[in-house]
Amino acid sequence: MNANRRTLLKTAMAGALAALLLVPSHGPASALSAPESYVQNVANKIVATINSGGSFNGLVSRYADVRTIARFSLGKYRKGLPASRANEYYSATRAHIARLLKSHTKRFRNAKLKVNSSQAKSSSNIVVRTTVIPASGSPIPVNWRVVRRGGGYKIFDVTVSGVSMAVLLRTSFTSHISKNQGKVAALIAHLKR
Amino acid sequence: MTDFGHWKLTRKALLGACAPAIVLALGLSLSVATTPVYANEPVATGDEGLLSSLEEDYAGAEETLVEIDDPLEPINRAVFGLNMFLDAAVIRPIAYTYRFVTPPPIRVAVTNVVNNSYAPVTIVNSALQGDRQKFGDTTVRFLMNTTLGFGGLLDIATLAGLPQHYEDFGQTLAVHGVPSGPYIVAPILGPGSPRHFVGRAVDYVTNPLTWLLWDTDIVVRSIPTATTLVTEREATIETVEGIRESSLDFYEGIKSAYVQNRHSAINDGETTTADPEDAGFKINPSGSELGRRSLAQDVSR
Repeated sequence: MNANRRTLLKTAMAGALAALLLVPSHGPASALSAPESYVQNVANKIVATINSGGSFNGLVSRYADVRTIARFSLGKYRKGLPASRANEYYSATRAHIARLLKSHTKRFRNAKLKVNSSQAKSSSNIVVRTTVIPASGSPIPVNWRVVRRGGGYKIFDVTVSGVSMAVLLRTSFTSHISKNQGKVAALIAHLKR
Repeated sequence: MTDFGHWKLTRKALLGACAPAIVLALGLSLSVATTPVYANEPVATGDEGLLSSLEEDYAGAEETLVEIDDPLEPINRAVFGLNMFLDAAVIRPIAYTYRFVTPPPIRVAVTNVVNNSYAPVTIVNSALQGDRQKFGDTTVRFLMNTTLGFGGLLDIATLAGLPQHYEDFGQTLAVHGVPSGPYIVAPILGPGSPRHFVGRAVDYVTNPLTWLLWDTDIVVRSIPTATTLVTEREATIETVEGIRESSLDFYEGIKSAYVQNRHSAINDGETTTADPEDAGFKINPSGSELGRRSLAQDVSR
Protein backbone atom coordinates (compact mmCIF):
# COMPACT_ATOMS: atom_id res chain seq x y z
CA MET A 1 0.00 0.00 0.00
CA ASN A 2 2.78 2.38 1.05
CA ALA A 3 4.85 1.43 -1.97
CA ASN A 4 1.85 2.09 -4.19
CA ARG A 5 1.30 5.46 -2.58
CA ARG A 6 4.97 6.37 -3.02
CA THR A 7 4.80 5.36 -6.68
CA LEU A 8 1.65 7.40 -7.13
CA LEU A 9 3.21 10.41 -5.45
CA LYS A 10 6.37 10.09 -7.54
CA THR A 11 4.28 9.90 -10.69
CA ALA A 12 2.23 12.89 -9.60
CA MET A 13 5.33 14.95 -8.79
CA ALA A 14 6.91 14.05 -12.11
CA GLY A 15 3.71 14.93 -13.93
CA ALA A 16 3.36 18.23 -12.09
CA LEU A 17 6.96 19.09 -12.93
CA ALA A 18 6.38 18.17 -16.57
CA ALA A 19 3.24 20.30 -16.58
CA LEU A 20 5.11 23.26 -15.15
CA LEU A 21 7.83 22.86 -17.76
CA LEU A 22 5.13 22.97 -20.40
CA VAL A 23 4.11 26.46 -19.31
CA PRO A 24 4.89 28.70 -22.26
CA SER A 25 7.77 31.00 -21.47
CA HIS A 26 7.21 34.70 -22.00
CA GLY A 27 9.84 36.62 -23.79
CA PRO A 28 10.38 40.35 -23.46
CA ALA A 29 7.16 42.34 -23.78
CA SER A 30 6.60 43.49 -27.32
CA ALA A 31 6.01 47.18 -27.97
CA LEU A 32 2.38 48.20 -27.65
CA SER A 33 0.56 50.00 -30.45
CA ALA A 34 -0.82 53.48 -29.78
CA PRO A 35 -4.37 52.34 -28.90
CA GLU A 36 -2.96 49.53 -26.74
CA SER A 37 -0.77 51.99 -24.83
CA TYR A 38 -3.75 54.27 -24.42
CA VAL A 39 -5.83 51.45 -22.92
CA GLN A 40 -2.97 50.40 -20.66
CA ASN A 41 -2.69 53.97 -19.41
CA VAL A 42 -6.44 54.33 -18.82
CA ALA A 43 -6.58 50.96 -17.04
CA ASN A 44 -3.75 52.02 -14.73
CA LYS A 45 -5.62 55.20 -13.90
CA ILE A 46 -8.84 53.28 -13.26
CA VAL A 47 -7.07 50.90 -10.86
CA ALA A 48 -5.43 53.87 -9.12
CA THR A 49 -8.87 55.48 -8.71
CA ILE A 50 -10.35 52.23 -7.36
CA ASN A 51 -7.48 51.86 -4.90
CA SER A 52 -7.81 55.44 -3.71
CA GLY A 53 -11.61 55.21 -3.47
CA GLY A 54 -11.91 58.47 -5.41
CA SER A 55 -14.52 59.70 -7.86
CA PHE A 56 -14.56 58.61 -11.49
CA ASN A 57 -16.02 61.88 -12.78
CA GLY A 58 -12.71 63.39 -13.88
CA LEU A 59 -11.57 60.11 -15.42
CA VAL A 60 -14.78 59.76 -17.44
CA SER A 61 -14.61 63.37 -18.65
CA ARG A 62 -11.05 62.96 -19.80
CA TYR A 63 -10.94 59.45 -21.25
CA ALA A 64 -14.47 58.48 -22.31
CA ASP A 65 -16.18 59.64 -25.49
CA VAL A 66 -19.25 60.64 -23.51
CA ARG A 67 -21.07 62.35 -26.40
CA THR A 68 -20.83 59.28 -28.64
CA ILE A 69 -21.72 56.89 -25.82
CA ALA A 70 -24.69 59.07 -24.83
CA ARG A 71 -25.98 59.31 -28.39
CA PHE A 72 -25.43 55.58 -29.06
CA SER A 73 -27.32 54.77 -25.85
CA LEU A 74 -30.47 56.48 -27.11
CA GLY A 75 -30.85 53.93 -29.90
CA LYS A 76 -33.99 54.53 -31.92
CA TYR A 77 -34.87 57.51 -29.70
CA ARG A 78 -31.80 59.49 -30.78
CA LYS A 79 -33.91 61.84 -32.87
CA GLY A 80 -35.93 62.62 -29.76
CA LEU A 81 -33.01 64.48 -28.17
CA PRO A 82 -33.46 68.20 -28.86
CA ALA A 83 -30.33 70.26 -29.41
CA SER A 84 -31.44 72.54 -26.59
CA ARG A 85 -31.14 69.72 -24.03
CA ALA A 86 -28.17 67.86 -25.50
CA ASN A 87 -25.52 69.24 -23.14
CA GLU A 88 -27.74 68.58 -20.15
CA TYR A 89 -28.18 64.98 -21.31
CA TYR A 90 -24.46 64.49 -21.96
CA SER A 91 -23.64 65.82 -18.53
CA ALA A 92 -26.18 63.53 -16.83
CA THR A 93 -24.85 60.56 -18.80
CA ARG A 94 -21.29 61.40 -17.77
CA ALA A 95 -22.30 61.34 -14.11
CA HIS A 96 -24.19 58.06 -14.63
CA ILE A 97 -21.17 56.40 -16.29
CA ALA A 98 -18.99 57.52 -13.37
CA ARG A 99 -21.45 55.89 -10.93
CA LEU A 100 -21.61 52.80 -13.10
CA LEU A 101 -17.80 52.53 -13.16
CA LYS A 102 -17.62 52.85 -9.41
CA SER A 103 -20.18 50.09 -8.94
CA HIS A 104 -18.70 47.70 -11.48
CA THR A 105 -15.01 48.01 -10.68
CA LYS A 106 -14.97 47.24 -6.97
CA ARG A 107 -13.60 43.76 -7.59
CA PHE A 108 -10.67 45.14 -9.61
CA ARG A 109 -8.84 46.60 -6.64
CA ASN A 110 -5.08 46.13 -7.16
CA ALA A 111 -5.78 44.35 -10.44
CA LYS A 112 -3.27 44.19 -13.26
CA LEU A 113 -3.94 44.44 -16.98
CA LYS A 114 -2.31 42.40 -19.72
CA VAL A 115 -2.78 43.61 -23.29
CA ASN A 116 -3.27 40.68 -25.64
CA SER A 117 -3.99 42.12 -29.08
CA SER A 118 -5.91 44.78 -30.95
CA GLN A 119 -8.06 44.86 -34.04
CA ALA A 120 -9.06 47.88 -36.13
CA LYS A 121 -12.76 47.62 -36.95
CA SER A 122 -12.43 50.77 -39.05
CA SER A 123 -9.97 53.64 -39.30
CA SER A 124 -11.49 55.28 -36.20
CA ASN A 125 -12.80 52.29 -34.28
CA ILE A 126 -10.37 49.86 -32.65
CA VAL A 127 -10.91 46.95 -30.23
CA VAL A 128 -8.10 46.22 -27.76
CA ARG A 129 -8.29 42.78 -26.16
CA THR A 130 -6.91 42.48 -22.66
CA THR A 131 -6.97 40.23 -19.63
CA VAL A 132 -7.52 41.70 -16.20
CA ILE A 133 -5.77 39.78 -13.46
CA PRO A 134 -7.53 40.55 -10.17
CA ALA A 135 -5.68 40.43 -6.88
CA SER A 136 -7.64 37.23 -6.15
CA GLY A 137 -9.72 35.09 -8.45
CA SER A 138 -9.54 34.02 -12.06
CA PRO A 139 -8.31 36.27 -14.90
CA ILE A 140 -11.12 38.11 -16.65
CA PRO A 141 -11.23 38.89 -20.39
CA VAL A 142 -11.90 42.58 -20.96
CA ASN A 143 -12.18 44.20 -24.40
CA TRP A 144 -11.92 47.96 -24.87
CA ARG A 145 -13.34 49.76 -27.87
CA VAL A 146 -11.47 52.99 -28.50
CA VAL A 147 -12.37 55.62 -31.06
CA ARG A 148 -10.16 58.28 -32.62
CA ARG A 149 -10.82 61.73 -31.28
CA GLY A 150 -8.88 64.91 -32.07
CA GLY A 151 -5.63 63.20 -32.93
CA GLY A 152 -5.86 60.90 -29.91
CA TYR A 153 -8.20 58.25 -28.57
CA LYS A 154 -11.20 57.98 -26.28
CA ILE A 155 -12.89 54.94 -24.77
CA PHE A 156 -16.28 54.13 -26.25
CA ASP A 157 -17.03 50.74 -24.67
CA VAL A 158 -15.66 48.20 -22.21
CA THR A 159 -16.77 44.58 -22.54
CA VAL A 160 -16.21 42.44 -19.45
CA SER A 161 -16.55 38.72 -20.09
CA GLY A 162 -18.80 39.31 -23.04
CA VAL A 163 -20.98 41.93 -21.36
CA SER A 164 -20.71 45.29 -23.12
CA MET A 165 -21.22 48.33 -20.94
CA ALA A 166 -22.40 50.36 -23.97
CA VAL A 167 -25.07 47.77 -24.78
CA LEU A 168 -26.02 47.56 -21.10
CA LEU A 169 -26.39 51.33 -21.02
CA ARG A 170 -28.36 51.38 -24.24
CA THR A 171 -30.75 48.67 -23.07
CA SER A 172 -31.26 50.48 -19.83
CA PHE A 173 -31.82 53.90 -21.43
CA THR A 174 -34.08 52.79 -24.28
CA SER A 175 -36.14 50.66 -21.91
CA HIS A 176 -36.66 53.64 -19.61
CA ILE A 177 -37.62 55.91 -22.51
CA SER A 178 -39.96 53.27 -23.89
CA LYS A 179 -41.73 52.98 -20.54
CA ASN A 180 -42.17 56.78 -20.50
CA GLN A 181 -44.04 57.18 -23.78
CA GLY A 182 -40.85 57.64 -25.78
CA LYS A 183 -39.83 60.82 -23.96
CA VAL A 184 -36.09 61.41 -23.73
CA ALA A 185 -36.87 64.14 -21.20
CA ALA A 186 -38.03 61.43 -18.76
CA LEU A 187 -34.64 59.76 -19.04
CA ILE A 188 -32.79 63.04 -18.47
CA ALA A 189 -34.91 63.75 -15.43
CA HIS A 190 -34.27 60.25 -14.07
CA LEU A 191 -30.52 60.47 -14.63
CA LYS A 192 -30.38 63.81 -12.84
CA ARG A 193 -32.19 62.52 -9.74
CA MET B 1 -34.95 18.51 -13.44
CA THR B 2 -37.49 20.51 -15.34
CA ASP B 3 -41.00 19.32 -16.07
CA PHE B 4 -41.41 20.63 -19.58
CA GLY B 5 -44.81 19.07 -20.15
CA HIS B 6 -46.11 20.87 -17.14
CA TRP B 7 -44.30 24.02 -18.25
CA LYS B 8 -46.11 23.98 -21.58
CA LEU B 9 -49.45 23.78 -19.85
CA THR B 10 -48.45 26.51 -17.47
CA ARG B 11 -47.23 28.65 -20.31
CA LYS B 12 -50.61 28.41 -22.01
CA ALA B 13 -52.33 29.41 -18.83
CA LEU B 14 -49.89 32.23 -18.26
CA LEU B 15 -50.20 33.45 -21.83
CA GLY B 16 -53.95 33.57 -21.38
CA ALA B 17 -53.58 35.44 -18.15
CA CYS B 18 -51.23 38.04 -19.55
CA ALA B 19 -53.05 38.56 -22.85
CA PRO B 20 -54.69 41.79 -21.60
CA ALA B 21 -51.27 43.09 -20.55
CA ILE B 22 -49.86 42.32 -24.01
CA VAL B 23 -52.77 44.08 -25.68
CA LEU B 24 -52.23 47.06 -23.39
CA ALA B 25 -48.50 47.07 -24.17
CA LEU B 26 -49.23 46.97 -27.89
CA GLY B 27 -51.64 49.83 -27.50
CA LEU B 28 -49.04 51.83 -25.63
CA SER B 29 -46.36 51.18 -28.23
CA LEU B 30 -48.73 52.26 -31.01
CA SER B 31 -49.52 55.45 -29.16
CA VAL B 32 -45.78 56.05 -28.67
CA ALA B 33 -45.18 55.64 -32.39
CA THR B 34 -47.72 58.31 -33.21
CA THR B 35 -46.70 60.77 -30.48
CA PRO B 36 -44.48 63.53 -31.87
CA VAL B 37 -41.60 64.27 -29.53
CA TYR B 38 -40.04 67.71 -29.69
CA ALA B 39 -41.57 68.04 -33.14
CA ASN B 40 -40.70 71.71 -33.51
CA GLU B 41 -37.19 71.66 -32.09
CA PRO B 42 -33.92 71.02 -33.92
CA VAL B 43 -32.46 67.60 -33.12
CA ALA B 44 -29.02 67.27 -31.53
CA THR B 45 -26.36 65.98 -33.89
CA GLY B 46 -22.85 64.63 -33.47
CA ASP B 47 -20.31 62.58 -35.38
CA GLU B 48 -22.89 60.72 -37.45
CA GLY B 49 -20.22 58.89 -39.47
CA LEU B 50 -18.66 57.34 -36.39
CA LEU B 51 -22.07 56.55 -34.91
CA SER B 52 -23.26 54.77 -38.01
CA SER B 53 -19.97 52.82 -38.11
CA LEU B 54 -20.52 51.77 -34.49
CA GLU B 55 -24.17 50.93 -35.15
CA GLU B 56 -23.03 48.70 -37.99
CA ASP B 57 -20.41 47.08 -35.83
CA TYR B 58 -22.93 46.33 -33.12
CA ALA B 59 -25.44 45.09 -35.68
CA GLY B 60 -25.50 41.60 -34.17
CA ALA B 61 -25.98 43.17 -30.78
CA GLU B 62 -28.66 45.47 -32.08
CA GLU B 63 -30.89 42.63 -33.12
CA THR B 64 -30.20 40.06 -30.49
CA LEU B 65 -28.73 41.80 -27.49
CA VAL B 66 -30.52 45.09 -27.38
CA GLU B 67 -33.90 44.18 -28.79
CA ILE B 68 -34.51 41.11 -26.65
CA ASP B 69 -37.61 39.05 -27.33
CA ASP B 70 -39.45 39.18 -24.01
CA PRO B 71 -43.16 38.58 -24.69
CA LEU B 72 -43.71 37.24 -21.17
CA GLU B 73 -42.23 40.28 -19.47
CA PRO B 74 -45.01 40.82 -16.89
CA ILE B 75 -44.73 37.21 -15.73
CA ASN B 76 -40.96 37.24 -15.96
CA ARG B 77 -40.83 40.32 -13.77
CA ALA B 78 -43.03 38.65 -11.17
CA VAL B 79 -40.83 35.53 -11.12
CA PHE B 80 -37.73 37.72 -11.04
CA GLY B 81 -39.14 39.43 -7.95
CA LEU B 82 -39.71 36.05 -6.30
CA ASN B 83 -36.19 34.94 -7.18
CA MET B 84 -34.80 38.18 -5.77
CA PHE B 85 -36.61 37.51 -2.53
CA LEU B 86 -35.22 33.96 -2.35
CA ASP B 87 -31.76 35.25 -3.12
CA ALA B 88 -31.87 37.90 -0.44
CA ALA B 89 -33.37 35.54 2.13
CA VAL B 90 -31.36 32.39 1.50
CA ILE B 91 -28.74 32.23 -1.23
CA ARG B 92 -26.89 35.52 -0.79
CA PRO B 93 -26.46 35.07 2.99
CA ILE B 94 -25.08 31.57 2.37
CA ALA B 95 -22.70 32.96 -0.29
CA TYR B 96 -21.47 35.66 2.11
CA THR B 97 -21.01 33.10 4.88
CA TYR B 98 -19.10 30.84 2.51
CA ARG B 99 -16.80 33.74 1.60
CA PHE B 100 -16.36 34.70 5.25
CA VAL B 101 -15.48 31.25 6.58
CA THR B 102 -13.31 29.90 3.76
CA PRO B 103 -9.89 31.32 2.84
CA PRO B 104 -9.33 32.13 -0.87
CA PRO B 105 -7.13 29.06 -1.59
CA ILE B 106 -9.92 26.78 -0.38
CA ARG B 107 -12.48 28.59 -2.52
CA VAL B 108 -10.18 28.28 -5.54
CA ALA B 109 -9.81 24.54 -4.87
CA VAL B 110 -13.58 24.08 -4.56
CA THR B 111 -14.15 26.02 -7.78
CA ASN B 112 -11.50 23.88 -9.49
CA VAL B 113 -13.33 20.71 -8.44
CA VAL B 114 -16.67 22.09 -9.66
CA ASN B 115 -15.10 23.09 -12.99
CA ASN B 116 -13.38 19.74 -13.39
CA SER B 117 -16.56 17.80 -12.66
CA TYR B 118 -18.24 19.63 -15.52
CA ALA B 119 -15.51 18.73 -18.04
CA PRO B 120 -17.24 15.53 -19.31
CA VAL B 121 -20.25 17.64 -20.34
CA THR B 122 -17.95 20.01 -22.25
CA ILE B 123 -16.22 17.03 -23.88
CA VAL B 124 -19.55 15.61 -25.09
CA ASN B 125 -20.75 18.97 -26.39
CA SER B 126 -17.46 19.83 -28.06
CA ALA B 127 -17.77 16.54 -29.93
CA LEU B 128 -21.39 17.28 -30.86
CA GLN B 129 -20.31 20.70 -32.14
CA GLY B 130 -17.45 19.16 -34.11
CA ASP B 131 -14.91 21.28 -32.25
CA ARG B 132 -11.75 19.18 -32.13
CA GLN B 133 -9.68 21.80 -30.37
CA LYS B 134 -12.01 22.11 -27.41
CA PHE B 135 -12.61 18.36 -27.34
CA GLY B 136 -8.85 17.72 -27.17
CA ASP B 137 -8.08 20.51 -24.70
CA THR B 138 -10.86 19.51 -22.33
CA THR B 139 -10.12 15.78 -22.49
CA VAL B 140 -6.46 16.35 -21.63
CA ARG B 141 -7.42 18.90 -18.98
CA PHE B 142 -9.84 16.46 -17.37
CA LEU B 143 -7.32 13.62 -17.30
CA MET B 144 -4.53 15.86 -16.04
CA ASN B 145 -6.52 17.60 -13.31
CA THR B 146 -8.27 14.43 -12.14
CA THR B 147 -4.99 12.55 -11.70
CA LEU B 148 -2.15 15.04 -11.14
CA GLY B 149 -4.52 17.63 -9.75
CA PHE B 150 -5.83 15.27 -7.08
CA GLY B 151 -9.40 14.94 -8.27
CA GLY B 152 -9.48 18.45 -9.67
CA LEU B 153 -8.43 20.29 -6.52
CA LEU B 154 -5.46 21.71 -8.41
CA ASP B 155 -5.81 23.18 -11.89
CA ILE B 156 -2.54 21.77 -13.23
CA ALA B 157 -3.81 21.98 -16.81
CA THR B 158 -4.06 25.77 -16.74
CA LEU B 159 -0.49 25.94 -15.47
CA ALA B 160 0.42 23.78 -18.44
CA GLY B 161 -1.17 26.34 -20.76
CA LEU B 162 -4.30 24.38 -21.64
CA PRO B 163 -7.25 26.78 -21.93
CA GLN B 164 -10.47 26.07 -20.11
CA HIS B 165 -13.68 25.76 -22.14
CA TYR B 166 -17.33 25.42 -21.25
CA GLU B 167 -19.70 23.99 -23.79
CA ASP B 168 -23.24 23.05 -22.92
CA PHE B 169 -26.06 21.44 -24.85
CA GLY B 170 -27.83 24.78 -25.22
CA GLN B 171 -24.76 26.05 -27.08
CA THR B 172 -24.71 22.87 -29.15
CA LEU B 173 -28.33 23.46 -30.16
CA ALA B 174 -27.46 27.07 -31.05
CA VAL B 175 -24.49 25.96 -33.15
CA HIS B 176 -26.84 23.67 -35.07
CA GLY B 177 -29.29 26.49 -35.73
CA VAL B 178 -31.98 25.84 -33.12
CA PRO B 179 -33.55 29.20 -32.23
CA SER B 180 -33.40 30.29 -28.61
CA GLY B 181 -37.05 31.21 -28.22
CA PRO B 182 -38.19 34.00 -25.93
CA TYR B 183 -36.50 35.16 -22.78
CA ILE B 184 -37.84 33.37 -19.72
CA VAL B 185 -37.18 33.80 -16.02
CA ALA B 186 -37.81 30.50 -14.27
CA PRO B 187 -38.38 30.16 -10.54
CA ILE B 188 -35.08 29.30 -8.80
CA LEU B 189 -33.35 28.49 -12.12
CA GLY B 190 -33.28 32.16 -13.14
CA PRO B 191 -33.04 33.65 -16.63
CA GLY B 192 -32.91 31.48 -19.72
CA SER B 193 -34.72 30.53 -22.86
CA PRO B 194 -36.53 27.33 -23.88
CA ARG B 195 -33.37 26.26 -25.73
CA HIS B 196 -31.20 26.97 -22.73
CA PHE B 197 -33.45 25.15 -20.26
CA VAL B 198 -33.69 22.09 -22.52
CA GLY B 199 -29.89 22.22 -22.75
CA ARG B 200 -29.54 22.32 -19.00
CA ALA B 201 -31.80 19.29 -18.58
CA VAL B 202 -29.73 17.35 -21.14
CA ASP B 203 -26.49 18.46 -19.44
CA TYR B 204 -27.82 17.16 -16.14
CA VAL B 205 -28.41 13.77 -17.74
CA THR B 206 -25.03 13.66 -19.51
CA ASN B 207 -23.08 14.64 -16.40
CA PRO B 208 -21.43 11.47 -14.99
CA LEU B 209 -21.87 12.81 -11.44
CA THR B 210 -25.62 12.49 -11.86
CA TRP B 211 -25.27 8.75 -12.39
CA LEU B 212 -22.43 8.20 -9.93
CA LEU B 213 -24.57 9.62 -7.14
CA TRP B 214 -27.88 8.26 -8.40
CA ASP B 215 -28.32 5.65 -5.65
CA THR B 216 -27.10 7.83 -2.84
CA ASP B 217 -29.06 9.77 -0.27
CA ILE B 218 -30.75 12.92 -1.59
CA VAL B 219 -28.47 15.06 0.57
CA VAL B 220 -25.36 13.53 -1.02
CA ARG B 221 -26.96 13.72 -4.47
CA SER B 222 -27.57 17.43 -4.01
CA ILE B 223 -23.99 18.28 -3.06
CA PRO B 224 -22.72 19.02 -6.61
CA THR B 225 -25.67 21.31 -7.43
CA ALA B 226 -25.54 23.06 -4.07
CA THR B 227 -21.77 23.54 -4.30
CA THR B 228 -22.06 24.97 -7.80
CA LEU B 229 -24.84 27.30 -6.71
CA VAL B 230 -22.94 28.65 -3.71
CA THR B 231 -19.56 29.05 -5.46
CA GLU B 232 -21.17 30.83 -8.39
CA ARG B 233 -23.17 33.15 -6.19
CA GLU B 234 -20.10 33.95 -4.12
CA ALA B 235 -18.14 34.77 -7.27
CA THR B 236 -20.82 37.16 -8.50
CA ILE B 237 -21.65 39.10 -5.36
CA GLU B 238 -19.98 42.31 -6.59
CA THR B 239 -21.11 41.90 -10.19
CA VAL B 240 -24.78 41.55 -9.32
CA GLU B 241 -24.54 44.42 -6.88
CA GLY B 242 -22.85 46.50 -9.59
CA ILE B 243 -25.72 45.89 -12.00
CA ARG B 244 -28.26 46.55 -9.25
CA GLU B 245 -26.64 49.86 -8.31
CA SER B 246 -26.03 51.11 -11.83
CA SER B 247 -29.14 49.97 -13.70
CA LEU B 248 -32.10 52.22 -14.19
CA ASP B 249 -34.09 48.99 -14.14
CA PHE B 250 -32.48 45.97 -12.44
CA TYR B 251 -34.63 43.49 -14.37
CA GLU B 252 -33.52 45.00 -17.69
CA GLY B 253 -29.90 45.14 -16.55
CA ILE B 254 -29.84 41.45 -15.65
CA LYS B 255 -31.67 40.52 -18.85
CA SER B 256 -29.20 42.43 -21.00
CA ALA B 257 -26.18 41.03 -19.15
CA TYR B 258 -27.57 37.50 -19.38
CA VAL B 259 -28.29 37.64 -23.09
CA GLN B 260 -25.00 39.33 -23.93
CA ASN B 261 -22.98 36.82 -21.98
CA ARG B 262 -24.81 33.88 -23.47
CA HIS B 263 -24.36 35.31 -26.93
CA SER B 264 -20.67 35.70 -26.21
CA ALA B 265 -20.40 32.10 -24.96
CA ILE B 266 -22.08 30.74 -28.07
CA ASN B 267 -19.87 32.85 -30.30
CA ASP B 268 -16.72 31.97 -28.37
CA GLY B 269 -16.10 35.33 -26.81
CA GLU B 270 -17.38 37.61 -29.55
CA THR B 271 -20.10 39.91 -28.26
CA THR B 272 -21.12 41.62 -31.43
CA THR B 273 -21.27 39.07 -34.17
CA ALA B 274 -24.20 38.97 -36.49
CA ASP B 275 -25.41 35.61 -35.26
CA PRO B 276 -29.19 35.89 -35.29
CA GLU B 277 -29.50 33.46 -32.43
CA ASP B 278 -28.25 34.17 -29.01
CA ALA B 279 -29.43 33.33 -25.52
CA GLY B 280 -27.84 33.90 -22.33
CA PHE B 281 -25.66 32.73 -19.60
CA LYS B 282 -27.49 31.76 -16.57
CA ILE B 283 -28.18 33.64 -13.49
CA ASN B 284 -29.48 32.31 -10.23
CA PRO B 285 -32.43 33.78 -8.43
CA SER B 286 -31.12 37.30 -8.59
CA GLY B 287 -28.93 36.85 -11.56
CA SER B 288 -26.26 35.11 -9.65
CA GLU B 289 -25.12 32.70 -12.29
CA LEU B 290 -23.76 35.73 -13.92
CA GLY B 291 -20.79 34.36 -12.26
CA ARG B 292 -17.82 32.22 -12.12
CA ARG B 293 -18.24 30.84 -15.59
CA SER B 294 -19.62 33.91 -17.18
CA LEU B 295 -17.64 36.71 -15.73
CA ALA B 296 -14.59 34.94 -14.48
CA GLN B 297 -14.39 32.45 -17.25
CA ASP B 298 -16.41 34.08 -19.97
CA VAL B 299 -18.72 31.18 -20.43
CA SER B 300 -21.87 29.68 -19.11
CA ARG B 301 -23.36 26.28 -18.91
